[in-house]
Amino acid sequence: MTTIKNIVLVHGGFVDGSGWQGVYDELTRDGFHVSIVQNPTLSLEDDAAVTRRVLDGLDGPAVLVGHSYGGVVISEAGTHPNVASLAYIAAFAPDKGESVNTLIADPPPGAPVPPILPPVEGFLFLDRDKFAASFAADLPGQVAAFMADAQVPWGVNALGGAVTEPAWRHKPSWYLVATEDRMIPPPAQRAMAERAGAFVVEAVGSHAVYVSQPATVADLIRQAAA
Amino acid sequence: MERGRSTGPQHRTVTALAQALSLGEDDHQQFIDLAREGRLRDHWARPTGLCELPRSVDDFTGRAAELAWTDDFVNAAESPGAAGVALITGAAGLGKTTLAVRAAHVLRPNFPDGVFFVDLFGMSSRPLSAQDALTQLLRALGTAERHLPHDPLDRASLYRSLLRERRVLVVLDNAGSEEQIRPILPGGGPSRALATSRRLLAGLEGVHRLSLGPLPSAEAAELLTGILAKRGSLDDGAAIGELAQFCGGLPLALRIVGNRLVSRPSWPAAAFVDRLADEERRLDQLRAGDLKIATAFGMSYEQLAVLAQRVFRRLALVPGRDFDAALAAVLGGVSVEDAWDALDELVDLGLLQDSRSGRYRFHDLVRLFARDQLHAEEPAADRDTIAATMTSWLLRMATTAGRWFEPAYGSPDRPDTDLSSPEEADHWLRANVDNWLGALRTAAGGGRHSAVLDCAESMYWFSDRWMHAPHWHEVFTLGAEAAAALGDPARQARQLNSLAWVHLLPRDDPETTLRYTAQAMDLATRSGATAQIASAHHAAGGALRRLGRLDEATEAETQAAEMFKAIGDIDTYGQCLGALGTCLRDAGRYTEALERYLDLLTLLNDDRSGMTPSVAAFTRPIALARVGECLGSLGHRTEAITKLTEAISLMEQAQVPVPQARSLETLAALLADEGRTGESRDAYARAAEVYEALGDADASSRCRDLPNAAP
Repeated sequence: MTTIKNIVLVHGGFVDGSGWQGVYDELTRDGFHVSIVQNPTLSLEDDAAVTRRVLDGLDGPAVLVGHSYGGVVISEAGTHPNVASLAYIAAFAPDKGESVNTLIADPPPGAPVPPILPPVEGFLFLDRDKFAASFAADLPGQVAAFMADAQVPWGVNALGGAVTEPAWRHKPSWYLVATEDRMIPPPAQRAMAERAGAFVVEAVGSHAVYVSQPATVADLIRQAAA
Repeated sequence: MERGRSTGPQHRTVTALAQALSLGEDDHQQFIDLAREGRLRDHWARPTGLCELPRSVDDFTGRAAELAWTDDFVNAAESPGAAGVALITGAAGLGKTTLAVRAAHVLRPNFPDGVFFVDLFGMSSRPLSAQDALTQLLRALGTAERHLPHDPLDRASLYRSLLRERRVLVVLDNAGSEEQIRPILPGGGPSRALATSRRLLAGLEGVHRLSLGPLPSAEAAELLTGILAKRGSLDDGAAIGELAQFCGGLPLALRIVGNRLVSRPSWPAAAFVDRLADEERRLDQLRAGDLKIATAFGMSYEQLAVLAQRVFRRLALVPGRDFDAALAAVLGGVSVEDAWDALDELVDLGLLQDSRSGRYRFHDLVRLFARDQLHAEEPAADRDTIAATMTSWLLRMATTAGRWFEPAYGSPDRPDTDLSSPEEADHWLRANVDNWLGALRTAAGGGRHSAVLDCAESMYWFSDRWMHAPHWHEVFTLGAEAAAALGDPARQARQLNSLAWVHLLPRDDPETTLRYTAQAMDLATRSGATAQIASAHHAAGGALRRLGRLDEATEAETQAAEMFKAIGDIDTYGQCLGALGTCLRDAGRYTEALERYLDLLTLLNDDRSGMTPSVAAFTRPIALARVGECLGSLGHRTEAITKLTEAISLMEQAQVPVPQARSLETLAALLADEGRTGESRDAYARAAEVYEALGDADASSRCRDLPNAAP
């Protein structure tokens, strides 16, 4: 019996909330109330505040879901009383004091390097020519090209934002590892998932698994809501 | 009880004899095996193979990352706490089973002790129980049925220890729940399990989970191109790409669409794309996920001949997991030849899967589609009529097949096709057990008491040939309920006696046996059914002896013996004499035991006694050995040695090594006591040899050591 009716989806860097459409369709068809946070990704503080505002407006418990950098946001905002459980989708799950910067500082040897261009006035972009291969290799070319050209600038302060009290230390968490991810190395995903004591499912997919495999993502969220 | 038709002993007689003569577990089974050998070969197990891995599809396409994932799972260093279990999850039609089977073939070299496959039917209305799965796997791992522990926990622990000792891969396909799969997962050691499920089975811990996604569009197009290569004509890549996209990356839909095109070589793929789009609109009441599939099915269904359509949709009514052409013919109202043609067509189109031995089955989704078509095209009244026809046919077949083994019926005057010999009847009953049992349930639910009781009664002798099948309790319970509903206490007593047997022998639960015999006795007494009163006494005697209540057991067997003798059932009378001897022997009353065994021997040696000759021949060496043992216990060593020597020689001729080895050991001890050391050594040496040939190393070394231990 499902008691959790609310799902809150938090996107990551370089993208906006529209990528959740497929997951939204799956979950609303099952009767869930699904909110998509449009977090500006300029600073962790702001993104957590925006997410908390959405959580404040809910009538009951929710599964808080984050993709990529969204994982940092849900780790920070997930201590909110309306959050019953957390779902990480190819996401960062920082511990206390960790940020995206500290988590990517020491990549394992041989890991693919995300083609992030040098910051311009505090904003980051992915090399648009390499976007498809690094971020969305399992999406149709046209869709990946659109995403590359529709990038949301990612603020350096968002990458530097350290988590104060990670919610996964207090709430049950679920983790979807994308095995072909070229943004966050799968071994790093597995290690963070294990550290969080998460229930882990793997999927053969790119970093954009939340777009390419909405049914798999929705399955995991349903389980987190059960 | 046995009439002239049979050339070997009826199995029930043999089992009862083995029981009455108190053979040990091994002797018992060997005795039964040998009796069976005398009658029938190779029809003991249900003909489904022993968890054999299905062959992989020839044109398996893509899934490289998924195969790499399963390879990692097997070859990665075992992390502490990991259960050695990989679970592939995902929606229907994504190709979970195909992938798991492919992976298992690829991984086979890693598992020198074997790769096993079990379909758990997790999504069906009657999933395979964990116990049945465990039984199948243990048998596949080489555990003889007689060595399967009765207790479910013992069974699971035996399974785990075998998996720890060996390096095997078990593929557990289509798991429905945590409860179903948990007892059949390995617990540590080098063995691995690869499971598939539509569900995440979140309650399982330490499991590696892979969520299977749709086939990426390039791979989908590749699969379709491969299938369409059989068309000989080249379709343009764009149309194939569109078709692939239409199928949503679902291999099942891709295959069905591909086969459909192959079967109509003149249709260009592009025209087919338009047709599919129309069809999808027509079926838009379905959920999006299943829509692609249903549309693909619809296109194939539409192409079938009217007759094949009818057979196809009505097959959704089959209660069991698979079926043969005969049942398809009954449902379609067509000849078996026409049913074959229809089934061939359905297999060609990928709407049915065929298997070894001429049986067919649906993919779950196709069955749902067939059911939808049935509901759309045939009015409720017609559906009910067809279902009732099928139920009656299944019950009639089962009853006819069962009666082959009933002495009162024997060979039918006009044998049904497929049931023209006991071998065929036996095969039919085993292969179709899901179906006739389903029909029995339906008929019971519909109050067709007479047909239910006839069918349950017809299984009395057959059940003994397939002792360890799990459903006898249900069959005879339905029979007893039907008899009660018909107000027939004598027939109800017979069903209750059958239930007593189920609990005494296959289930080894003497307390429950006694509850049934008490009830049977009561009903049989009220209705004056002497044979049933006697049977109840005899079964109760067996249960009481098992419980160590030897005086009561002796009393019960004495009554049974008198009654069977009075009604002229000499075979069973002989069983009761043997059982009496054993009760008395167990109680240490050797003189009386000897009398009973000698009575039995007299009966066996009297060719006018009315006993079935084959039964007598079978029983004689065992009875002789018991006489010898009793004489030995009474101190009449010389006579004992003579009897045992004669028994051993007969056992040698009959090739029953287990009792032979035991008798040799007893003989050797007696010879030693007599101071006939050289002969004793010889007997011990022979016993050791026979034990060794049987694979009983402990007993063998015991017999080698014993003569040396003597002063």
